[in-house]
Amino acid sequence: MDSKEFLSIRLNLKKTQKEMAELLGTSLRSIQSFEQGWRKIPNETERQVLYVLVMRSTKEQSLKPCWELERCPQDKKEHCPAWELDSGHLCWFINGTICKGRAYSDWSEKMEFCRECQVFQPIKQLYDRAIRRDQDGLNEGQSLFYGGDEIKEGKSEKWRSFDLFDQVPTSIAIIDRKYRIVDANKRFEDTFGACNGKKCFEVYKGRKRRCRHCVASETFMDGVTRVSREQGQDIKGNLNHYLVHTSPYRDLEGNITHIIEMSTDITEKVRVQNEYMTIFDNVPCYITVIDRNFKVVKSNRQFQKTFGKDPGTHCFESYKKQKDICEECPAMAVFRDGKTHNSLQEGYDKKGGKVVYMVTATPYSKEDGQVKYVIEMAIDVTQTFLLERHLKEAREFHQIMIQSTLTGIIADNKDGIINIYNPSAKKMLNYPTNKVVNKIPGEKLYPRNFLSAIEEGDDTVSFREGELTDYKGNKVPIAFSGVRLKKDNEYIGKVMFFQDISKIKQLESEIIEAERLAAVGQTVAGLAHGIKNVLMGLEGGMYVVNSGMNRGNNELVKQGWDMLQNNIEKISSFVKEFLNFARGTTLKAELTDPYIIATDIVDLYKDTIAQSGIRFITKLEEGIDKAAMDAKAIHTCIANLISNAIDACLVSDNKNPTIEFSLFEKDGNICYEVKDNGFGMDYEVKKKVFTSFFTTKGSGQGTGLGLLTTRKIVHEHGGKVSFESTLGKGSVFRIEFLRNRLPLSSEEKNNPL
Amino acid sequence: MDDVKKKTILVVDDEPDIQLFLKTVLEDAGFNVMAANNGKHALERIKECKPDLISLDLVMPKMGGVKLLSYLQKNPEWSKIPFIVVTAHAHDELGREDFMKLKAEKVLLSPHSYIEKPIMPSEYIEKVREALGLEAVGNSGTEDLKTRVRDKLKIATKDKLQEALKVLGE
Repeated sequence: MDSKEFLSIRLNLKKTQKEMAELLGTSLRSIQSFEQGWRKIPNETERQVLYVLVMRSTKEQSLKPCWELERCPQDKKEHCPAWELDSGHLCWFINGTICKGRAYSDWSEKMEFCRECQVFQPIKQLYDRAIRRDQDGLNEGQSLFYGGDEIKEGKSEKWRSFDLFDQVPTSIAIIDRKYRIVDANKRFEDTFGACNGKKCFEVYKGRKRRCRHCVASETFMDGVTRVSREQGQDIKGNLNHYLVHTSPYRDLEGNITHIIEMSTDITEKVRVQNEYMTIFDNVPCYITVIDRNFKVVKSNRQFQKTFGKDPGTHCFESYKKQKDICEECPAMAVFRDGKTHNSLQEGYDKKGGKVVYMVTATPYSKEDGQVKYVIEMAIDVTQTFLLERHLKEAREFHQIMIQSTLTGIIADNKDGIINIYNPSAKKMLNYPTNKVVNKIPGEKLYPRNFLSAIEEGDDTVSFREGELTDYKGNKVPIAFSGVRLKKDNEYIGKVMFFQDISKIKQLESEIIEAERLAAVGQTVAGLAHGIKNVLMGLEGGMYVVNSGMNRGNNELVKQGWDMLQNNIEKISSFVKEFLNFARGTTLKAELTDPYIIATDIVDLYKDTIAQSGIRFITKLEEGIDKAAMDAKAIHTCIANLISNAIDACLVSDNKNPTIEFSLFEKDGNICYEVKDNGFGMDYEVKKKVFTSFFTTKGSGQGTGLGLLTTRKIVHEHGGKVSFESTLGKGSVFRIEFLRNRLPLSSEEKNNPL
Repeated sequence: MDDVKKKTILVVDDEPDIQLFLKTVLEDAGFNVMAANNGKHALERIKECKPDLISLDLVMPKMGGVKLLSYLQKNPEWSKIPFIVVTAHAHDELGREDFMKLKAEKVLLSPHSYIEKPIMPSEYIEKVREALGLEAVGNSGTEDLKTRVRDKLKIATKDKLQEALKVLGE
């Protein structure tokens, strides 16, 4: 049985819901549930209801027993409980009947059969009629309602006569239990459109089904007046918002038969409210409304995002995670004087991170001249604050660097006036700070070569040597670099960084001098040794001559004489070489092309090398920048190396003797290299390579001063000599000059700036 | 002097002057003399004819004295040949290490010996005779005494003078 049947039967029986509940021994709520279709009607209720209906109808008309209607055979009839109980008109009611020879297992199954049976038809007609009447009732108007006429003919008619119904600034609709709008005022129809007989949900919302949350149904059930906010669509199909008062209308018996819904259009209000809410939530600041107890009664989404959804009830809890009111409370100030107050505050976000904010506290609503709420709007300045702090730290750091570095720093601004003059600069130049900073132009202190380089458009310059003049007019030798300062391509000044190199220069020359003295000392020692050997030769020669004369051996005498001659020659060559070695201590360094020195050597030796049957490979890098060197001295050095290489090749057994001579520059290091595949050196010889008067060339050849002289010259150039050698495989000798250790050329000496 | 004539001495020195000088001195003293320019050369000579004594320079190209000695030590026959190291480099950086090594390894124990340049003929001969186990030519006539005193005086230092006086005192 569905709810429709149930309702029809109740109406047929002319019972109210309450009476029906009493009749069926159930609750009012159950009856309502059955009629609304919320609850399935149980089998026993269905049987009860149908039974009551039949019992009432039998008063009016007699029903034929089933066996007559169905023409049941005698043998079957006598076995049927309907016959047994003499209840042929109630056969559908009795379980176990065996119509058409069949007994049905349960009520539902039996009723499915019985409903189609002609015995049941008169009963079916009873409630079908009731349903029909119910549906027709719409047109007939009154037939369904007990005293329902009052609505039409009573109050509403009265309102209509005063035009009140149509005049009130509210949309009014009267809704029946089928959720049909049975009446509505003009305003309602103006707003939602014509509604005659349509369901409320169709008219209000353009829906085809009842609303999920139906306020009317609730009021139908409990009779309580409700106010609700709804969203629907107006006559033009636009979204609208309205506030609905849902009130019950009761008949004389207290049954709620209709609902009166009065709605007020709040679309515009809601729109404005939404706008404000959007602004409130999304404005890039934290907004809170605080009451006189410092409780946060409202906060916006930005606030909740930063400080947490439920960060604490009091403002000091939520903003600062503290338990007591702040010492300087802007809200309190507002409560006190009713004026707006600003202040910078520090709080903590939901993760405990520091938040710095600029808060504006303003009175929000006043009562009896007293501020009731304060609205606090806080702009987050954490980033700005942190940035400022970093900036300050960076500035301090730079300041400390400038103040404490050992490098002198002088900078000027775009007008050329000095604005930085650090303590190291002061220490070197002795100008009092107050006579420099913001007083004199940088031009007065900067070296000329710096200024001219900047004028020529260089952005950064670096000079290994330059000169400044100190307060007393003394020259201070410096190494410096300078930068033209630009900001967004605009000239804002220049700065130079410099170091006093007078001490370094002094140390450098001391080291070179010490090295030279050591070399001289070694040479002198070596010389003494050499002279001792020569003396030995002379004495030996004399002895041999004497002996030859004693023996009358002329050959021996001649040998003795040769020996004497050899040694005398040796002395003279020693003296020459030694003089060469000990020659003037100052180099004549000129800007020289290292490549030219190399080609001179090649020209000098290529014939000799070729004649000796040695292959000569040259790998000379062209275009190396000129360097300050004593070309003649370097020439001697390389000549020594080449000459050694030739000798090494000559004494070796190598069938393809080769000498490779190269020149290259790498990382500011000018390098000459002489490589041979000649005899090479064993460990013992290697150790003695740079020892004076050491020679492996046998008597008469070489004095043992060659490599020593080479080393001395290279050292005087600030360079170094190195070699690798393997016995039987050959040797590589390398002389290297680091550019920044080369001596000053005479040109540079004359024009230091 | 027959004992001397039977003895053959190998002079190893890379400097032809020294070689000639030593050779002449030894010949004057009556020895047979062979000469070599370096260690390698010397080995060849030794193979040809085993000498009774080797007069050896330390610092030489190709094969130095120390190398030669270590080579000789490996041969049981050659290892017994006495030698005199004649060096100008006992105390300079060229030969000091080699020399100290020889001393430290006690190679220079008698009969082996050493003599430093400049070489006085009489001293040299004395050392050679010592190494060969021959009698010193000593106190036989004033001529020899004269030579010895002259030799000492040539390298006169305080010590040497005292030594010279001692000789005179004999």
